[in-house]
Amino acid sequence: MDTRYIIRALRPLKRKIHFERAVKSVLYMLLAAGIAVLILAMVSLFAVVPFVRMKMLAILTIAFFAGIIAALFLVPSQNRVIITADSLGLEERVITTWYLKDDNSPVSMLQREDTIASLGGINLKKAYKFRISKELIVSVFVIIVAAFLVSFIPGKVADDTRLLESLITEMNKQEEMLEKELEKQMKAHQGMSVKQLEELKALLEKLKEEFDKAKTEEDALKALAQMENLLEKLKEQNPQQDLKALENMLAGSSLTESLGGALKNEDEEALKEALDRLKKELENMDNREELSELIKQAAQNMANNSMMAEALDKIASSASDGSLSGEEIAQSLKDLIEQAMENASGMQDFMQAAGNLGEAAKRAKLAIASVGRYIAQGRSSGNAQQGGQNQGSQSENKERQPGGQGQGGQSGDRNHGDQDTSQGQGGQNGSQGQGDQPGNQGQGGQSQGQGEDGGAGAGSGSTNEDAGYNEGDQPGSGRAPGDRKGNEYRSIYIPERLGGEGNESLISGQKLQSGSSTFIEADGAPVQKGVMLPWNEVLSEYREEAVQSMERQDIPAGLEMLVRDYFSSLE
Amino acid sequence: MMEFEQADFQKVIDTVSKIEAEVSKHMIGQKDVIRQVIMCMLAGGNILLEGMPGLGKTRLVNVLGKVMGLSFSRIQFTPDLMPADVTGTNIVSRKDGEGMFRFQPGPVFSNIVLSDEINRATPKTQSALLQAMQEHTVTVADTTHKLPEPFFVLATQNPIEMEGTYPLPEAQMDRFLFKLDVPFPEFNELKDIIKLTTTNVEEEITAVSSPGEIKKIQKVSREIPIAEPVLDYAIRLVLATHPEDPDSPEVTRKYVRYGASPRGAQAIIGTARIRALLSGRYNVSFDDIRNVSYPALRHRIFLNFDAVSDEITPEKIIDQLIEDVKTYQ
Repeated sequence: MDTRYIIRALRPLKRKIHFERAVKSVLYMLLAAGIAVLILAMVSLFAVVPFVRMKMLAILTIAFFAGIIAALFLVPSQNRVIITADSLGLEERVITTWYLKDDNSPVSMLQREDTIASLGGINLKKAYKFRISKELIVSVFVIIVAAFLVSFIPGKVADDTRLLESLITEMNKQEEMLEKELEKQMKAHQGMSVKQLEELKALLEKLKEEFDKAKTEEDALKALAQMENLLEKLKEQNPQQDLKALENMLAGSSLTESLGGALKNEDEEALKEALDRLKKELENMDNREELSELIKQAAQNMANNSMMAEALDKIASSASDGSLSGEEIAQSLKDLIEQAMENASGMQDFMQAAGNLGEAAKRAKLAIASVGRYIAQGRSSGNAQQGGQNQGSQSENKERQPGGQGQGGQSGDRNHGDQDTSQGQGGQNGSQGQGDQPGNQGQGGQSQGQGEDGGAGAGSGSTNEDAGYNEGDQPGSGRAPGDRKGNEYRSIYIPERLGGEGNESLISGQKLQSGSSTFIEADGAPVQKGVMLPWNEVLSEYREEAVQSMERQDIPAGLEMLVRDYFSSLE
Repeated sequence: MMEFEQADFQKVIDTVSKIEAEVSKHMIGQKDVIRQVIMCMLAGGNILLEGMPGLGKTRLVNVLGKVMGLSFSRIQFTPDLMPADVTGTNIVSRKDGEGMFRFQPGPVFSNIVLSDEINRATPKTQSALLQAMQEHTVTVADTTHKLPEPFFVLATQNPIEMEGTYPLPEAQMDRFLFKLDVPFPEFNELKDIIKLTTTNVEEEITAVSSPGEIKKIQKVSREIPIAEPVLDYAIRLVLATHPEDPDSPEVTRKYVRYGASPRGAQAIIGTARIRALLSGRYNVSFDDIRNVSYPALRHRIFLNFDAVSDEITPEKIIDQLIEDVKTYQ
């Protein structure tokens, strides 16, 4: 039997059923997404969820398109269309015809004609009513609207969320700005070697990673500070000087004199010949010892270039212990020379590019710090309405803060400017010493800190409980480059709080001048003796305390940055 | 298998429509009962009519007989009615001076037999009808006599005055294709009945068919196609009346003692085909199945004591089954 007529007659109905399924699919997806966004909105009341409304919109959009995609697979089967058609008043005529399609008996023919006549007499598309429940539509609408309303409920978490959103926006903006800056620098300084370019790109990538992980303004600023530090380090690298030192070192010995000369004249042929000769000379163990001494000496003269110094150290030890053959030592030396030459070739451009990028990072820091300041201003203005007495206390603090900031800044700048290759981050340590909490007028304790790169700084630090003491190295006596080991930390004195491990108690309310108070001096309080701990174990706690203090009190942005920079440099 | 032409089907539809129209002219109201009686008769089944006296049961059978051109007889069942009073008996007669036994046919030898108040006769007499109903034959002494075709028994039962009656056993109930409840007429129907029956107007009932045509209708109706999902639905419906069936609904398990026999399914399918024909269709619909399931199953579902105490009727069970059993699985 030719069923084409029936299929054709059922086509409009099929399309309508499919459309209905698509609508239902989208509605169910939106319902599920609606529930998800409602939960998300409720979670955002208790936990910081940045860009919650954007996320909600994204979830709903994804659900909408998922519903549409799912609908593509929800094409009704022919059987389903037939069943539906029969339910519209055809009284199982169509399905009977469908079952009898291969039967040509008189009654089947009659039945078929009857079906065709019935199909011709009914508008299936019109007869089929959409069966989408109003409850479903209303539920979807109500849930989505409720979710968005919930997301607008104000509160502390909402404020924090807003801060984080501003921060993320600013981070993205600054990230973009830095990327543009890098591109600009790449165009402007095309003399940079591929390796140098890679280093700058890697720095930017690392910054992006850190930004992605950043949860607070502190994290973002820390990431930028780290980038700045790394840029500084890169700038401190002086391949030309290293090359010169290498030339001098090589020229200073009869063993490598020809090699030094070839290097000075940049004569590749001569360099090759000299290396071949050195290879032979190094078969003698005495010559190796001599070369090892020479190389060690050169490495010490390249204190601020970790890579070169480390490589030279390695070659020196290999030469002295005989783990490498003469040929291998000569080859390593050759590779190192080539590397140094390559680095030296684009150094001028690289220094400028790194400098400009560092400036851009500084600007980014200021911009990000301003986000925190803006919010902090908003909060403090809110607090100001709560009571004048409190304000008075704040302004009292303000008077003291600029002093701390100024001292820290001066000390940092001075040390930075004066530092030589043996004094890395002394300035930052100095700023730590001066950056005492206003109001925590100490008992005159002294602290001495050691810079990350072996520099030293000194400052007066104190707490109310104990005089601070830091058993640091002597100022200026930084460790020799190459001896540094990242996992060795000096111990510092950690005072115990009165009462042991208990937390600080905070009493909410306003301090007023009225009323009376009584002070009793207690003798024999159980003050426990402090302990000495490696500083890295307490760094995060100190950092946290510093951040909290800055949040509690109105600190000038410059000083905040100084404190952050300090902790960033330590990390 | 008998082959029918398209014209045969169309003629059958015409005849069935004419029968229904003609009966309706002489019967006031009871439209559903009339239609169901016609359906059952055209399907070749026997009918058990239950209702109060005076509701026109006898008249319906009389009219149907005349409209269909069939012979009609009536037996009033009483406790002293003997089987021979129903089937007939051998009597001694004289022919040419010699005495001999001659079979004297009873009232059962008719196309339509109205067995009035069948539950008043003894089981022995009731069972005399069994062979006639099932095999369309009667055996007297050692001779089996064939009954005229088509043959239908329309029995009536009075639901009140149960004292001194002999309720039909389950096996005998199962032999009736349909059990119909004859409802009391409504106001306007009763008014029209009074007008029609209390005047001197002579009724002219026209025969629109013949026994031969009725036989043909019975055969043609068996050709009406039924789609497999529809057939499956009917079977699932019957199976759902069985409490031991794993798919039976809760209502069956709770209230039904015995479910419908396979005759129930046969009754549904056979009469659904006639209903389709009466509707001018050449296929059986789900609605046909649902419609005929009440008269076909109500006397085949045997309820337990819980059902009686909870005032559950077979109709309520069937309502629930129709609601629970899905048309497509």
